[in-house]
Amino acid sequence: MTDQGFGVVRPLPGNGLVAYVGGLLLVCDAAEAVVEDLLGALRETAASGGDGRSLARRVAQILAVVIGEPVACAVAGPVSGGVAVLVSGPAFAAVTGAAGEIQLAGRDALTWSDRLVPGPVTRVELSLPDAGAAHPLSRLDAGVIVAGGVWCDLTEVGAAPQAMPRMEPAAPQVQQAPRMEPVAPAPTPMPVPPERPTSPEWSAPPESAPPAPYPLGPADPYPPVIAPPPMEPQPQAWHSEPHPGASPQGPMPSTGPAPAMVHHEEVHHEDIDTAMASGMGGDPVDVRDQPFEYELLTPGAAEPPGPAPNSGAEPEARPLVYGVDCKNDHFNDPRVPYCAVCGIALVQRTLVPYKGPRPPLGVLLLDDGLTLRLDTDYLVGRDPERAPEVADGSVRPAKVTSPDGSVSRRHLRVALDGWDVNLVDLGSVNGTQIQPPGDPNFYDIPPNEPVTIMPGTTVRIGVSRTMRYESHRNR
Amino acid sequence: MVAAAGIPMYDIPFLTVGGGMGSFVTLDYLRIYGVPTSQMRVVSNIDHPWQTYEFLTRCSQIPRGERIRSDSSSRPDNLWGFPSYALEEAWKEKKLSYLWQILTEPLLNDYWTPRAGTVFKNLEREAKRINYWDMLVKGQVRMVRRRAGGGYFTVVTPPDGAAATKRIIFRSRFVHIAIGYPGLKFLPDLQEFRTKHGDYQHVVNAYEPHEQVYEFLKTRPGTVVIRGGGIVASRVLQRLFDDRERHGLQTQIIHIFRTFVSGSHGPHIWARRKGGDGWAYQGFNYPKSVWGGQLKAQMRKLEGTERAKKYKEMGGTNTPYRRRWQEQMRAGRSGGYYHPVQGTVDRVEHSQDGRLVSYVRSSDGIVREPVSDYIIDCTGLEADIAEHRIFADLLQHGGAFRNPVGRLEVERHFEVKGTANGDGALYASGSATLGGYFPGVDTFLGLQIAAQEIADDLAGRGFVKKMGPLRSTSQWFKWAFNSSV
Repeated sequence: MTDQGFGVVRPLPGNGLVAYVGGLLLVCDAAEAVVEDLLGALRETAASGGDGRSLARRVAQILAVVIGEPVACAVAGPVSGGVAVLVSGPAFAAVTGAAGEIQLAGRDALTWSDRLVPGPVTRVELSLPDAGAAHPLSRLDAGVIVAGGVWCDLTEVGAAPQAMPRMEPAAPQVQQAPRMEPVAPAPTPMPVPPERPTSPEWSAPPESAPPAPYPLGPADPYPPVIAPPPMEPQPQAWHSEPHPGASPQGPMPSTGPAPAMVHHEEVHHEDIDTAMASGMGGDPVDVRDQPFEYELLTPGAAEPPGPAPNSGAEPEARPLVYGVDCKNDHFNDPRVPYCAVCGIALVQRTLVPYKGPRPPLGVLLLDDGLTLRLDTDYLVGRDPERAPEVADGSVRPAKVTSPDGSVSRRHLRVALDGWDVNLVDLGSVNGTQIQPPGDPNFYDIPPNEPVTIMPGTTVRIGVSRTMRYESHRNR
Repeated sequence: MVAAAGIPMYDIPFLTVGGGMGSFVTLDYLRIYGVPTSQMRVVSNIDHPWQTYEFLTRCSQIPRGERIRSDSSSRPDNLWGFPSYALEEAWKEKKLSYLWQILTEPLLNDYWTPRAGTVFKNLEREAKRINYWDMLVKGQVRMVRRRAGGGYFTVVTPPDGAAATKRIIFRSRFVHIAIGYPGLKFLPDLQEFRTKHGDYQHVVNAYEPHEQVYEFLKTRPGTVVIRGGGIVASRVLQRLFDDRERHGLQTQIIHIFRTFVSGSHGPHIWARRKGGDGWAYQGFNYPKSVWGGQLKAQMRKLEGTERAKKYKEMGGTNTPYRRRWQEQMRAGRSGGYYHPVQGTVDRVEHSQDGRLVSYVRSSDGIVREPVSDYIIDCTGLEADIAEHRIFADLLQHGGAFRNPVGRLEVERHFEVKGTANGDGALYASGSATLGGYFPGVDTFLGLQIAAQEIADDLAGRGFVKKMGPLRSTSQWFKWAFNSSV
């Protein structure tokens, strides 16, 4: 549903923040303490293919934490049969649907106001108190900008605006949309069971909302409907082989029993697929052309814009760690006996540690031969690409699937800390086990706690997949 | 002057620098000769004498359970060499076949060698017996300098927090240096590849940990380029063959020899060495006559270029002939998965698909461009002695100089030439002294022969009593019963 978006979106002048990501809208006061959380919620919802309802739930969770402070924010997103809106604090929302315009102000509620406005929706406005009027030629296709609000005309889907009939943002008019076929999906025979049939009032948070398993970072969204098939991290960067059979599954996590934890999100994938298949969703904007979107790292794809180290270049902005120089000025792990570049003994030097750019720490070698160079953190899982930290480039995705479905969507983070390689199990359903070098047994690692591993350690991801950590720095 | 500088100074009559096998063997001799631990110190930054040795053997595919590759004419934990490793293992494992093997080597059987683990275990036993750790001082030796009035100063940087000052100084009458190889030697083109591509995993040195190569090959078929024709290359090759057999792999191996030996070779009929398929074969690290035969006698008298010539004659990279490994290579050649070629590598680059292309020029002018997943450099450990700060300082300020083959020139009793100072003496042993009057210095037996020469020289100088047959016999019993010296 999210691909459908809000037609033409025009930012209103002002000093807040407006985000329009994956068809979801957020307007908030830039000075709010939770602004990053709100942006994160938006991105994560968009990345996981969530709709307006999921977005409102996530935002409600964030607001619930700081309840008592009137956070100025408003969000909106399409749902099957209409638009979900949530408003808090001094923010304001107006939605024009089949039953006329509905106005919501955060101040009217003790906590926040939310509403599911039945479609067809023709107009949505979210604004902060100081918002001005939109310029008729302004337009926001996606991204995060400084603005005081947004004004959306859902009758002008995706097309260049030919006419601007309504410029008065707050004009209380009730009007049927003249050309609304592609954007008003509500009464169409879409086989999506509305679990909460257009109940006008709903409140968050529901108990099933999945906890955000990652630190919410400033990420860009990944729109699920354009997901190219299984991603392999850039081959030219850190491994040299093609990967036959690296991904026995299709691009969507549709095979194998889905772990319970991620089940409800997958419903939305199906929604989207079904909607796409039935020709719904109007003209989805191909966000791949938009500079703000995250590009998948597929073999043969264009050079990713993000943190793609390629074979010829030093990965820019390598983290600084304490290390020592060999006598030929090569920067090294202070604990190794010989220089990793020239081989000269480090022990003959009086070693003076200083901070330098960290060289690769070793490799992760998956059981299918996929080799991942440890020069950055990795997110290992069945479906890691959509994670916000992957989208913002701070973590590289490592897609690992298994026929028995025992690998969670986001299973494990490989986190580099100084010269150490740590594993953090992200609360995966089937857990992560490690087999230290020379030990015949596997041991469970606790979820959400970093565990340092030594070179030669075998890591079992879920039930049937393994990888090994090897390093030239092994002592 | 030193005292005025406020640097703490300690007097210790005999100091050995290094703390590896060379220091250990020398201290072992001196302890058995009767020097108390209070008279000797070893300055080192490793915790036990076999640490570096074990690291290098493990990396070059000889973990504790595997047999070491080169011969073991002696045992470094036992200066008498009796009972040998073979007797010990035969006794402990109740295997008479080991004795049969040493009786029939090399004609019916390969030369017998001990397990690496046997060597380390015995070293540990002996180190405890001589109270090695009572003599160990952790630290970095910065330099050894002659002292006005005889003897030497050794400037040491202790580990952080171990001493009140950043430097401490030992004042000694005798100093022994056994610091081994200055490092591994990574070939320039491989160094360039690493720095250029930030890729430490696909182009590796056999003496550094490179398990990822073997692990990768278990996951999918791959090609490996091996460079070098020495003993380490033979062991790496055997690992690749073993894994191929054990796991049913399809590894392709391209082996590049700079010097391709195609048959027996040598200056005359009495000095021939077997060879073939690229390799020069040798039963032992050195010709047997190095240890007590005519080669030893000849070398002892040679100087300058003549000595260098003799070294060249008997030297050259070689490796022991092992039947099992030979079978594997034969199978590899006939099975089309082992490809030995002659050539020198100009450079290594990434191919389009991210693999490695070696540009190999052979002596006949043909340039080959084998593509591989991994390159294992087995060309050795040698590095210029001046790469080590202690030797560099000795060459520059200490009066030491190089021998005809470029390493440290030592006397027949392993005193470093040109460094004598008053009644003190500076000794060196191990690989840094290769090229002297005695060949074979970088082996167990070579270290022991050096230690014996040094101990006898020290006895001549009155530092320790001479060792006679009675005392030696009683010391052997002490060794046998593992009682303190």
